[in-house]
Amino acid sequence: MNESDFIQLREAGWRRRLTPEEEKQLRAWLHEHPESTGDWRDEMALNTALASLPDAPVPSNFTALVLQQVDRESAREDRSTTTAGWWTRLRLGWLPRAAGAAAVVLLLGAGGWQYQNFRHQQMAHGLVQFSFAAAAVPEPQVFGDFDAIRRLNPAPPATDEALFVALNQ
Amino acid sequence: MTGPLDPDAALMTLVKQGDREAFARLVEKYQQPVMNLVIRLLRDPVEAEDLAQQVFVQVFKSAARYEVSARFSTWLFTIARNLCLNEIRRRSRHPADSLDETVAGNDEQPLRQPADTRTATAPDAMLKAELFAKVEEAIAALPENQRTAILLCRYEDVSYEEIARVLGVSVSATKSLIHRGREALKSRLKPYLRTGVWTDPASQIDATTAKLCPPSGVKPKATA
Repeated sequence: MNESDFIQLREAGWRRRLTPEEEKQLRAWLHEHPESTGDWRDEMALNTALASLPDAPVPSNFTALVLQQVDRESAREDRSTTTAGWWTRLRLGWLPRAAGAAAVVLLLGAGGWQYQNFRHQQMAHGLVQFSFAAAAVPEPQVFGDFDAIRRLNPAPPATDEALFVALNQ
Repeated sequence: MTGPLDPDAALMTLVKQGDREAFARLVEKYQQPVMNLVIRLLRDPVEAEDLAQQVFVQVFKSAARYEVSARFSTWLFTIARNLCLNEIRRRSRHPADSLDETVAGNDEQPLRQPADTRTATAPDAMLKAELFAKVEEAIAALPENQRTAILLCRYEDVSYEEIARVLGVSVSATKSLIHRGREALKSRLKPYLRTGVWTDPASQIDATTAKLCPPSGVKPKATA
């Protein structure tokens, strides 16, 4: 047995009792290496100490307590699932339709508003043009002599027609 | 080639289908090892009991994520360790009430009164209890990963590979952690280990080494 075998035996001893064959090998090793004896004794004592550590107290109703807690957690999860389900129905159900309808109403409103704006602009433009046109009309006094002038220079329609015929020839 | 199905994995397959009976059987089987681990990682018996329950609740809730290829005990101890680490981190952020804190208006009455688990025992039993208290103290003083490795190493059916998986390190790193932890324990407990109290009478090696290296005769200090 070499040092590596000794280490392997030591590691085996951490987890389980050595077999009679392993103990025999170890005794032979310790006989050849008495300097390791003290350390090995400490190893063995520590193994025994760790193996015989008392168990922590566990309440007799531990399993029942765990099952109760599982029930509580399940109930809590069901509640949150119900809330989530309500939200999911809302999200996947009428919410998209309502959002679509709202978008249509919004678009229509915006279109109507734009049209109204356009109409107002047109009316304003028309008024401006009318006011310019009104400014070009002669003063009312001028129209006072209109009929008199017209009587002084009556142009028989036949003259215009004769002129038109002459021009065409 | 796959070996026979781990009986606990078979129970977990039933738990996955919502079988509470199978779950209760797993709780019955593992409540003691989980409690032993959690109490020594947290060092608070009251918190440890709540957390041990939480470990199993987590097992039930996460049953769907359990892969039958993994050993149940490895998965369980990983959950237990992670919950303990979370609790230790939470405590470091929000330190708990001191045990010495007293009830307002009554300096004599402590806020928390731990149960007195000591009973009148024979001197030999008292000596053993004191020795165990020293071992527990020494274990508690180890770094968390060494402590977990050494505590899991106590269970013969938990292999080094499984301990490595619980700790998230390699097998050689696990053995190194155990070795270093044990060296620290031996150094702390040397006077107590050599009292001969922990000599295994069934071991022929102990008998041989006792001849080669008799107990030092150092007795543990008597407490007041």
